[in-house]
Amino acid sequence: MGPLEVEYVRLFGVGMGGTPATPTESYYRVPARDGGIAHFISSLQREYRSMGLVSVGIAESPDHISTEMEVMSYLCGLEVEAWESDQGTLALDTLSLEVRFIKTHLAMWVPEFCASARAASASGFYGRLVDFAHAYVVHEADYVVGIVNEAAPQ
Amino acid sequence: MTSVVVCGDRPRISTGEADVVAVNGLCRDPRQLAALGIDATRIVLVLHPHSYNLQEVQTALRGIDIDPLGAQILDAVEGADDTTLAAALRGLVARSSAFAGSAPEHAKPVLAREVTRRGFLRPPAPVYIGAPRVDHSRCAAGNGCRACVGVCPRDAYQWQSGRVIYDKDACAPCGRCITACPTAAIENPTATPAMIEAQVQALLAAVKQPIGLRFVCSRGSIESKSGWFDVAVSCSSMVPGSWLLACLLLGAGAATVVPCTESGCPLQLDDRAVEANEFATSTLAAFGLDWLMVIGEEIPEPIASGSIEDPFGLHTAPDVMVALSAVAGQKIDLVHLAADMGVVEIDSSVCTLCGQCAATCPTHALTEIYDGDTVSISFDPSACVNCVQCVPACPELQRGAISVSGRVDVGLLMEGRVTLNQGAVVTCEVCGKAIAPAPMMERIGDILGDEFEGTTTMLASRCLDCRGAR
Repeated sequence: MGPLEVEYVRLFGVGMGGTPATPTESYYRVPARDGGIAHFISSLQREYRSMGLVSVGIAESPDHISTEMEVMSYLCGLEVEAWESDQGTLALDTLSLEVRFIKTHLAMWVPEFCASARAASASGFYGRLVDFAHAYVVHEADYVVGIVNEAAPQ
Repeated sequence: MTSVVVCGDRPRISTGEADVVAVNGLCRDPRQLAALGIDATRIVLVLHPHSYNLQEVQTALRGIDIDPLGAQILDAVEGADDTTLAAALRGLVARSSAFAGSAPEHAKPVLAREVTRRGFLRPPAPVYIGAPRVDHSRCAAGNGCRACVGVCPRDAYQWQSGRVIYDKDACAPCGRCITACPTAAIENPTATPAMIEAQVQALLAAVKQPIGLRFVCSRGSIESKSGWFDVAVSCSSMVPGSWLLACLLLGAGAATVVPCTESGCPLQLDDRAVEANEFATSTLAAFGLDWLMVIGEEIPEPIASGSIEDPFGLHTAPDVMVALSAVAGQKIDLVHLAADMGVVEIDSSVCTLCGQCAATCPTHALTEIYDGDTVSISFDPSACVNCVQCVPACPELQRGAISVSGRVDVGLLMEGRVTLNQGAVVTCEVCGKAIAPAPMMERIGDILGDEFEGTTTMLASRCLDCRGAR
């Protein structure tokens, strides 16, 4: 394994000393007892299905940061297509979906996850990468909310 | 390091540590900043009001790796003399140097109004303004504190299960939460106590004659006034009266806060600014000092040139009052609605010593101590910030057990911590451990009445462990 892969496993994998920065939402938002995580993931999968998304092949957990970022990317793509085909209402509906998804998921846990990763890898590659991820999630959440608010009463 | 860049061809002005660079047409095209080879991380810009686009300026600053939230912009005023401009610049250079950086949570995007639906194909880049962030490790919401929730005019804070939830989208931001927070857990990086202190100290050092300091809303624009220098805050409603008094103690001849409405703020939060001026004026009058120092046109000689630790931080008001008392040579006892310090009073005939007030007090001004078979509630007036969180926490509030008033009592301040109420503790007859304060058990007995006398006796005779209740 290359040094980046070793660092990835050290930061985000399950090791002897625990995981410095667990990259899944349920870790930050759901108590592990009473099957809470299973319920949380089922509910997230229902949310994905309502957007027309199903997981195929070997995928990360539905609440993994890469999965949630991919869902956000998918919604942004839909929004762009709607704007480009001049379907303003559909575009704003998609934008509202983005607002709901980022506010109820990514923005609720990514800052905490990034803080943990930064603490464990302040000057490393992943430390810098989580700075970017943190800034993206916070700014994007603020920005889409602002856009939807501006559009609302017109 | 801080750079100063002036729009125009103004000759070089000395600002002490920072070099001043003049660039023609900077307002029109801020991208010229990239060609200057600036390696500073902080910047002060002198720009012509209404001639530049703030979004373009912020984009240009990000392009040269400078955090726009820390950039200070001074209006280039026609006819301003070089001495005044140099002093104002020194103030802003010091303020900019004290900027500690911002996090993504501190940036609030403000989009251009009235964007058409077609316009969303190319959404406008926002202007970013500084917004507060709650440091949950310092926040006292877990003990029931809701000070920020109570003062926010936009309902941007909600208290949920011992945690405050902040809604940046709803936030103005006016900064009232920052000065109202009893534990200094909320900060906005664009106007921190350290930045304000650095600017004030630099201004006082830069001008030999007495100057006046005006706290002004960063969003507004007010006419400049000879001899007065502006210190920008998120909104003038966040300025407590003790900040004005602190300015006088640091060596300003006069200090005032300009109400929001005067500077054109749409938030209409001028009541607090007016109250802060009134509080400062009343305090000075009570001390027998010249009250015109707060609101006067003429700037008098300073009353002091001393130093106060952290003059614009939390818990400074008591230090300010003690220092003013030394200057005036007398103590005062003044009650004022806008005082950012308070005095708690407890009616010992009603208080049951349950300790809820002390458990809630975010600054530990109120504490409850068990000592053998007695329990006492004590109060430290120098720690009270008049947040009034103890009042709704009191179960005997309806019977008037506790009250708080905004009050400056210098004699009490000098006395230090005082006992407000004390009483005996009922102990377990089996193990000897404390069960509860005796007045509390008596109150429970009164509520339950004769019908439940047996229950009352049982509660007062055995602790939870010896009753097998846990």
